[in-house]
Amino acid sequence: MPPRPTPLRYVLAWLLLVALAGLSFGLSRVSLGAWGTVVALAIAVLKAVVVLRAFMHLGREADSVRLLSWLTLAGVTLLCLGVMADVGLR
Amino acid sequence: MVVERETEAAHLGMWLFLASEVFLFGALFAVYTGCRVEFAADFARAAHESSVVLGTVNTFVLLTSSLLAALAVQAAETKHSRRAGLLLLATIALGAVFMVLKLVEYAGHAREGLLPGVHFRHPALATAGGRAYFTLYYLMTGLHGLHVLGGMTALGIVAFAALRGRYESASPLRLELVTLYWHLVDVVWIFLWPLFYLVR
Repeated sequence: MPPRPTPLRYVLAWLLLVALAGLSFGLSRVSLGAWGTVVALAIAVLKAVVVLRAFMHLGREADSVRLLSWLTLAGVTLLCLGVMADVGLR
Repeated sequence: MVVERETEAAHLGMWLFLASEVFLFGALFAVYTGCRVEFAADFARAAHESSVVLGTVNTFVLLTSSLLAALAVQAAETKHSRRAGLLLLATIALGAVFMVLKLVEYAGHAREGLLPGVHFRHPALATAGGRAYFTLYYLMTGLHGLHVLGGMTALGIVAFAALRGRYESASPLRLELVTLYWHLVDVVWIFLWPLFYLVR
């Protein structure tokens, strides 16, 4: 198991999250058209990964927990894509 | 060895609970996705009514609260129980700031007639899409708000124990599991923020 993060690493993760939030806010002021949603969600996914890895220590969890996380992510993604396809292809 | 197994089982149990929460919000995100595709123009117009400033400030508030919660776990693990308690109190305070700002935002919407269901009184947005946007807005941010309140309560219980010095000797497992829940509340907001405040 990897060692526990130090307080400095937590602060660095927070700074990264703040920077990503700032980037997301800045890009929302620029007209990106349909790409605006994609970019905003991509940054949100990146921020979620930082929280999961740095603050929730997902990398330190047992294989069963990591498998559960992947299955949950896949399930929710399929749910959203399925609804989007249903409405979009009508 | 037994303690290690118990810890692992407790973590798995907590992550299973968090997964069920993700599916709860995931179902609502799926409905949002479908409505956004169906009513793209209405959603874009309705999004202009949300307060970007309040939503953005709340994002930084929750991100900072997650940092403090993580530092509280670190303090408890190094047997600095009272420091952990103070960090948890600061986390709760930021949760309270988040809720106050959210209520200020709701009050602003109420004054403009942007209320769910039959109370909707905003002529420019009185379309099926506009109404759907605000119904989802209240449903998703309201459910998230209830989770913030639940998280603050749970954090309060472990903060009380920490301030009494519990983690100078006891395992910080309970504290760690509660902060996992708090971080999930943060993750949900990380997705709500762009969908209701930034994407137009």
